[in-house]
Amino acid sequence: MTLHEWEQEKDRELDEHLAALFQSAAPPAPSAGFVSRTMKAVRQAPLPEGRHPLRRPWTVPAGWVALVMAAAAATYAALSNQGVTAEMLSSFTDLGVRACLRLVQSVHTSARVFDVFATMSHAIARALSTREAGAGLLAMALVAAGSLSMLHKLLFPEKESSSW
Amino acid sequence: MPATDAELVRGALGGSEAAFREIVERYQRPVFGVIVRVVRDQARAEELAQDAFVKAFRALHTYDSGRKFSAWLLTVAHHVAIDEVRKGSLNTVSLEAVMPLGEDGSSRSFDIEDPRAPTPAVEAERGELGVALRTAISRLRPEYRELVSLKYEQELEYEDIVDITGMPMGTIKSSLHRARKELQGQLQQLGWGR
Repeated sequence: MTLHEWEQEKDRELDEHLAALFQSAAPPAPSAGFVSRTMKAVRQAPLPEGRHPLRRPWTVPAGWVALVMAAAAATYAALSNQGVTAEMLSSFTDLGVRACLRLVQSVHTSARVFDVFATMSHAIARALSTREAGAGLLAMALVAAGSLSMLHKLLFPEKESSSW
Repeated sequence: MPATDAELVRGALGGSEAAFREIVERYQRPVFGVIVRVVRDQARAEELAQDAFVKAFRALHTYDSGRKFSAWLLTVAHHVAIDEVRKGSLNTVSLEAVMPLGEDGSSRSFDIEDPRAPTPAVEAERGELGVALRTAISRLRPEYRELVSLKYEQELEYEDIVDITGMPMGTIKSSLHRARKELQGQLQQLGWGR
């Protein structure tokens, strides 16, 4: 390999390395809102003779028109047929009141459940604060664990024997 | 199926704002990327990138559809950046503050584990590498900075770079050869060398 070939090979390796490095790096990007700012500038730019100025997509104004028309139609219908409007209003009110009551009821129930837990944990904490009660609770826990273990052995004796 | 560049150009010439918006969205990064490498100032680069899009829109009727649109648009961006250099109004403050030179002298690995995996560690490394590259490129000469950006960031072929810059192929190749060596030296100083 000649010196020139060796240099070319080194340059090619460096080229590949840099390409990989650039692919791995976060590319530079303009800040947020760049497109909107640019479009505003583009819209304001004077155009050469014979060029069409940019127009906004028709869907945006059409959407607004449809919304306004729908609101106008609903208002007109409500004003022209008061019986139906009153019925709709009363059913909406009924629905709202029911939903509120359900919410209040569920909040009340949850509060009561939390109260039970709070009372229990308070009693346990108080009991644990004395040495005798703590020892008693520990003994109860041990008895309960032993009972559960014996119950398990009674209920599943064949499983244990078969596993051996 | 996304519209082709030619369709978007036709739409924009017909007055469709949505079509030109799509062009801006599609090419905001390459246009900004080329300009920011030359001017080295984020805010100024955004202004110039905006100018480039305005100029491109105003001259859209002169675009020859036989030519690659990306190359045509980047040519506009190139001229905007070069005009700024000629005006001599560039901010030449060093970017060393952004990425200080190796404080502990430790050299980081040149290999990246998996850039596609979106883990926080990889993202952080990508960010750090991006800053290191930005710093290293900012220390190159302006003509090298742009060539490096076109070749490695925009991943353009030599023919496209010739088209955009108007420089002879031989000049581009030899300039890039020198730019690579300088870039390697700068990256080594920044702890990203091999």
